[in-house]
Amino acid sequence: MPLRLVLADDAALIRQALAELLQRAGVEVVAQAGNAPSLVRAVEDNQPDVAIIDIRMPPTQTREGIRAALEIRGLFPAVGILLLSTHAQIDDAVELFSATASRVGYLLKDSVSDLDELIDALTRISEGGTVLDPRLVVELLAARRRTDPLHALTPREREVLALMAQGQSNVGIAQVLWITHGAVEKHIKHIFAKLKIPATSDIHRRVLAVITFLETR
Amino acid sequence: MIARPELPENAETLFRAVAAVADALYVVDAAGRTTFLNPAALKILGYADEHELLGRISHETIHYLRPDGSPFPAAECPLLRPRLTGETVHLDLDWFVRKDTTHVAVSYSSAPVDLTDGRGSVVAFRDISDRLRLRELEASRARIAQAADDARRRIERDLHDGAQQQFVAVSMRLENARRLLAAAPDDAARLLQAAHADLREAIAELQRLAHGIHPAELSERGLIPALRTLARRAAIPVGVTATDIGRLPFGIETTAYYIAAEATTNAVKHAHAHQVEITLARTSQGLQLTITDDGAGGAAVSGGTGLQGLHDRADALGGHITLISPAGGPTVLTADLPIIGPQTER
Repeated sequence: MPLRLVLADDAALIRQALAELLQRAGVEVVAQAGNAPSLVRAVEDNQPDVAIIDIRMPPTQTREGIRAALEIRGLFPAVGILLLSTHAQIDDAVELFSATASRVGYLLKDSVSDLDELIDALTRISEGGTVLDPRLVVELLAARRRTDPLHALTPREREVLALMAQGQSNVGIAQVLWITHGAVEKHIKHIFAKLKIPATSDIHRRVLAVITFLETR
Repeated sequence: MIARPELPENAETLFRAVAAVADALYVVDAAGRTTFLNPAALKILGYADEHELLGRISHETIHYLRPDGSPFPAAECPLLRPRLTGETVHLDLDWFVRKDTTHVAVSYSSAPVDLTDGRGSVVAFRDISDRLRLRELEASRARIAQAADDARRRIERDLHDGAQQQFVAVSMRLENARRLLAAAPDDAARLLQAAHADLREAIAELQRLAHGIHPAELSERGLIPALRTLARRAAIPVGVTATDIGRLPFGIETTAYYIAAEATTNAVKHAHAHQVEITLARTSQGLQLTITDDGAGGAAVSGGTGLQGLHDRADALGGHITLISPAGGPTVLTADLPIIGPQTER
């Protein structure tokens, strides 16, 4: 059964282009909305698998999208949420991931023109996973620090940390890196110990722990 | 009234008469000693009682230091000439030393006057601090306007040379692809792929440009998140330490952001620093921003237009910038930005 989506973006041009792109890829766009209230109504009427929401929408063009996302999460917890942002803003991702446990994602808008990446994100979200734009993760990992705790990590452990921050499960990490599930678990144990991140089993909590760790160093 | 034998009786009467006028006035005798001064002169010079000055050598009391703190030799003093040569002098800007050793900007006229013991002089002067401040404010406004014009020209150039060129290239590639679509679909596909790549680059370029003009995060999330992003993207480690300062008025946040950004750029580019520390704190008057780097030091506000621009920005908000940058470093730039009026929540 194809994924069913609701799209919300006040820029009609982008909304329609995205809808065409997704429909050609076999995703069903069941409704479109240009502002937060009509988005919430569209979600209520259609109960989609995922709602794709632009963070900046009228009237203030700041964080209406996040607010609407959290409202939808409260009302219809089964609906997955993918927030799109023009700008890489770590705090937006942290706000989203702090408020809700799973079925969420945060992608930069221009990632969306890479259709494979977008479909992969939508699938993972609809299956209960968490997605964070890799460019945000790269920025967090690349930031220079006076005393860089990441020095303690091996190159392989850094790769694992980056995938973990993007919301990959242990199985997903094993597939991407072509290593065994057991090896992934071993790496993650080392990473958590070296960085003193509280070990959590939940994928989403793991993402939040990693972002918070990277952001506050 | 104390009798002053140095002054002829008619002169005393004359001086008493002018004592009431607004201009400050004092008289020195042939030896350069102060023999008379009016209340306005006392006030400007910061003295409470005329006896603190009467009988003392005027130059050595109120004119012995230049504003940069170096000594002002009596032989070079323009106020010497009326007594020596009998000429009258006017000066639009000079500096007198007040009782508390601070300087006060003055304009003055000095003319010779015949006293019982020879040729003395009378000096009428005016505190021109306000006028100077106004002149500096006008200059600062002009520089801000000039900087804004320069920035607009730079943005236009960046748009023209960068994103616009890329969009034109994409448009041409798309047109080529359309023509090839039927006859050579593989070539068309390659062109489309190239156009897509170019377009993504153009979008990234536009985002960099927009971020440089005004980071969206600054208005959406506030100063600290915007500074943390600045720190993350810097070429050297930049620490941001802040107490919870909350949201501040738009002008304060923007100015503080640009001061921190410029100071960080300077630390990397000119001082070759290895790390920078940005500290934010609320004070009773407003916001205090401190940027410390471990670079080469030797920076001066007059040395580069960048620092002058920061000074002007702070000045426009009624704030000020203090720069301590000894040769060899470290450089500490402190900006105090007052928050005037009620704090607005946006």
